[in-house]
Amino acid sequence: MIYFDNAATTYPKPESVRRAAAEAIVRYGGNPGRSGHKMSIAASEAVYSVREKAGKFFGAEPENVIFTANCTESLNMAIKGLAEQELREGRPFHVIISSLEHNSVFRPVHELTKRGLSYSIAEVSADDTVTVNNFEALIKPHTKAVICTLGSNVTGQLLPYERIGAMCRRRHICFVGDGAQVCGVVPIDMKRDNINILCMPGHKGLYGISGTGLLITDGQYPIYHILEGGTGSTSLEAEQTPFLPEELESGTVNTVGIVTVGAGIDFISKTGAERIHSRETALCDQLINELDGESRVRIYRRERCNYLPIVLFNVEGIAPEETAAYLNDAGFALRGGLHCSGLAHRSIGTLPDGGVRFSPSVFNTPTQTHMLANAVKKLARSKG
Amino acid sequence: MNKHIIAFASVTQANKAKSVFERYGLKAEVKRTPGTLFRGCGFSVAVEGRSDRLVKIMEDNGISYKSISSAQGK
Repeated sequence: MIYFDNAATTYPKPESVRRAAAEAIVRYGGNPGRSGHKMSIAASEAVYSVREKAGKFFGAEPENVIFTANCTESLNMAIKGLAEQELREGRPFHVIISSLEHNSVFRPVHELTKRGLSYSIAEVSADDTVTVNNFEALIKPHTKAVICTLGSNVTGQLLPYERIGAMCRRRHICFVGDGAQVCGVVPIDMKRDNINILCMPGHKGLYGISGTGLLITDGQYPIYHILEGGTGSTSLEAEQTPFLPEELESGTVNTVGIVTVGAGIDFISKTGAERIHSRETALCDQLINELDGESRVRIYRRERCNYLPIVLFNVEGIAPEETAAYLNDAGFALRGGLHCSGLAHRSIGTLPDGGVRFSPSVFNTPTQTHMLANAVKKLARSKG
Repeated sequence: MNKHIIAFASVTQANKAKSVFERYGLKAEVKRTPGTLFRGCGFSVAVEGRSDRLVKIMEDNGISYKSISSAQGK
């Protein structure tokens, strides 16, 4: 099986990540931040070292790095945590999301409408200036946050997030970035890019194992906890621990997973983020070029846009799930369908069936990409 | 040189202090806060150095602590 579904989760993991996972199971068996014995202390030091590493990687303080189970959990915590106090006290809370959102943003935002939140959807244009203006035009007096993907998981289109963040800063609005597809693939610095809260998975571009996610905040906008419990701190108090990261990390964290995220960040730093990005982008360009001229293959890209290493395509007359199943039988792993993002597919006109997504990693090769292109061509030419 | 026990509200702050002290060339160790200092959960850092220097390092690096006490005789 040749794996081209890295936007869902990266595979394979680097050798160093696999080694780190095996070592962590043996060395960090204690519960971090709970007990005083050597195994627990060693585990807490291992977890902290990744906090420090992730903070440095994204431009934040280590105590503002919160470990979660995945990006969806991070986004739920951020969105609901920002809105909680305001909604509880009956104050209006309006947010703006983009037309390319994944359900991990769209659904928690929509869910909160049952408690009084309101939201608007800004259309993402091929022109970055138009996109930023679309966001700004939707700001109301009670707009408290812009929550949007930094790069689409469906088409790969990169949003002008630094400019959206700058606009939010100027308008005193919190900017929450969904970095699911971007973090580890494109260099992100929260200060430079004006991001107040950054959410991401640990198992995609950061090459950690599944069951890992991060929420990183600059601390400017309080995030109320949506989960209470043991934190290893302030244990005599009935109220939840009031400081980060413990406030947002009730219960035992995923030590092994967190250690693999640290090893993944080391892998990216050692390999070079730009090298990874250019290699993956070259594979996308190759696929597009090889499929160019195939009359029945449609590729969803717009001119003058910047893209992540993701290519969405369809074979005319064949449902994307059917195309993905055919490719699976031919030995290729790609994801067909709606990619948990009905909004994005509505925006690009691929409803109701969606498309087929090609998302390579640094471990894929031009030969593999050529083989895939041939398989797609064969399918496209087989049913005239 | 005096050894000090510095108590923190959380294991994260204790680990941050340890990391910072080590950057200054000081040997530091995270431990459970002794019960004689505080009730309930808490973590401390045992570190050698003059207390005024240790406090200055923590202040310069934005680390908040609960108490600092001499570990001599403990």
